[in-house]
Amino acid sequence: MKIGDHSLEQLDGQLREAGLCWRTGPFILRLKADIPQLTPWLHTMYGEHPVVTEPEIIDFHLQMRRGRGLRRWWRPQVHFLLDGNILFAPFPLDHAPPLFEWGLNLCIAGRANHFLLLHTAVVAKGGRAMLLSGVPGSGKSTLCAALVVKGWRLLSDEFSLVHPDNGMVYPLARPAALKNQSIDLIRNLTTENLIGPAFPNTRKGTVAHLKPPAASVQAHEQPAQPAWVICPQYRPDRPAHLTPLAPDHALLRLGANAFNYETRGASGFHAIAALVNRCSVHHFFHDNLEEAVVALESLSTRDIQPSPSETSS
Amino acid sequence: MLPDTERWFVPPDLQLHWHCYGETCLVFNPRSGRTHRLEQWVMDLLEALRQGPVSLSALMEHLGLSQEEREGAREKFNRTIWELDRLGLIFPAGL
Repeated sequence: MKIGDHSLEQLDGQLREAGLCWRTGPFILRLKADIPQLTPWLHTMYGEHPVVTEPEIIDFHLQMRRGRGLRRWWRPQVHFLLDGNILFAPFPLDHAPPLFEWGLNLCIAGRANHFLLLHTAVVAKGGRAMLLSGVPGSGKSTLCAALVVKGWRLLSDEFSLVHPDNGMVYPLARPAALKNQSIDLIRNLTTENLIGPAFPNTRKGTVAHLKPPAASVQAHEQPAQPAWVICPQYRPDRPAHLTPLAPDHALLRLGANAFNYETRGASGFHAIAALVNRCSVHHFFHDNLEEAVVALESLSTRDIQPSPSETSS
Repeated sequence: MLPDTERWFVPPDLQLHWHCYGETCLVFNPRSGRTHRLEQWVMDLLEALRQGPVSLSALMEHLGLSQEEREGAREKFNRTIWELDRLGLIFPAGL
């Protein structure tokens, strides 16, 4: 059964009472919530995700709860809790969906240390993954969403879950967060209604989410082989252009942007080195989203074999 | 300037990890969790210090520098030893 198979009333009741348990990528979470604004959003955005009825292990016990005290009468707020503990300052009640997404990101970043967690978006085609690595504001999420709208498989817009032993990237197809101008840019790429409601005035400006495609969610047990690492940077007046990035620079860059590089220790170092060795790695400047997609589509049809590192301990 | 009586070494239990790309090597120090970019000649220097405590002069001799080259390279070696010590990749003997 999928979350979308519930009626809104059923879903709301489940969230309020026992909590709703579902699987996203390799994780199982249980969410209890008394936030009516959250229910229709979950119904749409996580509609394709499988409900788990009798979980043996739950990775994240989550709760979203209205703020208490007098404040709730004139400025209602919502808290995000992990294992009964409030993780950060409350959000306005009508920002419950972005709070849920950021809260879940924090849970994964803090606990999923059996993976090397790279801060990249990941899409795939034909079983080969393209990692999009960039600092906030570089446009990686926008590019990720554009590729997904054009038919690429979504693995994640936030994490590369790299298995340290086999080097594969495991999927975590959740709603992709779009911010500010990116929302209309992606909306204009498709006639389908794939983008959820916009949440203005969040800490990151206006945020809306791209619904993960059904095929991407259903492929939650199929990892992909990393083939490309792209470091995108939107720059006005810079036509789409790929420039090879030296492997040592790529390794340091990916390590610096990982959530748990130090925690993973030497295995994280070797896992990133192996990933860089097997991938074609590029800087990518662009000033037009559609042209950027065409350039990356073109790259994906080529097979570039990078030179591996010469020695290692 | 480091005194020439000072000797330096990489402790046997410090298991450094590295990958080299041409003349550049990336070294992971498991004690600090940090990764450093080093030139190949510095890797050779670390390899020499893994064999046991060595003074600066003996190190330059070990690396095949002539007497004349040693005078010219002393400041560079001094600075490099100081940096490697600061990064926790090598340690002075006798502490």
